[in-house]
Amino acid sequence: MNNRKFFVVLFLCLATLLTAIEAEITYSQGEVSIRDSFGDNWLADPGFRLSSGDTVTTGADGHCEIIDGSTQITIAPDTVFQYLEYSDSGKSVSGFQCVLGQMNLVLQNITGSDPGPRISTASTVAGVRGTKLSVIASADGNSLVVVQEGRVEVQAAGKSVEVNAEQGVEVVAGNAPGQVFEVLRGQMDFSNWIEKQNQAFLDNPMAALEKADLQMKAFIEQISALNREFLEGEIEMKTLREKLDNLEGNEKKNFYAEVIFPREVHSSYLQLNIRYFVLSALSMRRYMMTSIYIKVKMNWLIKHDFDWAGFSEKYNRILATFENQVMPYLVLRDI
Amino acid sequence: MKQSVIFLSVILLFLILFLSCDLPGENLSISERIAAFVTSLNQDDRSNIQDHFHPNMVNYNQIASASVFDTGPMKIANQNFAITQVSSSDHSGGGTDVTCNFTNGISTYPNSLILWMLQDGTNWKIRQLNLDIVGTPGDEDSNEFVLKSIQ
Repeated sequence: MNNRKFFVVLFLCLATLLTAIEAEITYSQGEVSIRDSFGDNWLADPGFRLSSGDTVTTGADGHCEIIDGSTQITIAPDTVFQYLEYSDSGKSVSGFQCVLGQMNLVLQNITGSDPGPRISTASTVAGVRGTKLSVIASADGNSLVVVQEGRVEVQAAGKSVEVNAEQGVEVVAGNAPGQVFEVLRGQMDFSNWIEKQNQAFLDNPMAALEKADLQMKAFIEQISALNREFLEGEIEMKTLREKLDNLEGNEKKNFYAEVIFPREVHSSYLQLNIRYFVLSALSMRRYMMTSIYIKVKMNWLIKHDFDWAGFSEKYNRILATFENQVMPYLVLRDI
Repeated sequence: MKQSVIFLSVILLFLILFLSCDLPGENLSISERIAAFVTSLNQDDRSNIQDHFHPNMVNYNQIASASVFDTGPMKIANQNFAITQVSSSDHSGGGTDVTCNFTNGISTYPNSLILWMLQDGTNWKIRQLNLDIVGTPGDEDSNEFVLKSIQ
């Protein structure tokens, strides 16, 4: 076997080891890459299937389309998109997170009892009903949600606003949604908004970092709250299990079915949701924080017009918070 | 050069043996997969339980990382699990739905478990798991444990 053949065989063997699939890339053009939840990078060819935790990144000339059930997602150039799994009211739903850049969504057939997919940026969650919408996230975590058809409830910092067709709302990272504004049909070009956000972010990098800090803390707060609920449930469960151990026959069976089992199911789903926010924080650390660092450092090298030491100290403090409070929840394959 | 190719081949074989979820030669039928799953459930070391599930499952990564099994109804404290196949039918998304009776160490009263089995290469794996202690799977009550995919 010559060297070339050997390495072809090597590649094919290793490729068969890695199969993680769910939503499917149906079209891609230009530079589009995928980092899977094992940390491996792939080209986003049509037919490639995404699984929970996978991240799609498009370059300046790249875009792609993804189908997930009846939902169609278009990922714009210069975008980082993450596909996740989330549990809503006990039901598993897909999570589409626009970490950076822009995604456009067309959703169909969401019935009253169906929670629909979870659509989010680092700072915003959008609840949708039969909708066409665009979600844009800037490098410093600000978001813009614009609705073309249907209705969207945008939630951020514990507040929510309803956005109807041909309306939009801006969410500054760490804050509640702003005022809903009208968007004229055919004038939905968001490049100006992204440019404006990038400029504002370079003009005041410390403010951008403050927003990132707030967002990271919000993720950590959600992880902590879910973990607290989980641990409280475990304490209650310990008492209930002791009671269960003292029962016999049908009484035991009924107590398990009516009292213990629903709590066990709830505990599992809490773990699932903790995982969702942990992956969101990781995604923010990996993509948004890195993007902030590179852009600010480049700007500083050219202009030297702000306190780099102060920025660097604050940046490292956020990373330390991530490492202390999120890293313990990660598993090896995430890193 | 020849020696280095042989050396790399040995390393590759070693890696495949230890990294692959499906060891060469493992071609489990539906019944064998369910039996192997029950064996894993009844062991204290759950580190390989993910191997019984199909990678198409959206929950797939969560099963490996979050303690879904060790916090849910298939936790170690409920051990002495048994799964008995009752019937099977074709699943609309391919593969087979296997309806089973499920019991644990707390009660021998059979509970409803439906396993959607799907082939992963030559291996049958669990694509979706629905366990309902009160009522039957899919009846939309809140007492259902679901590890599933999203269609």
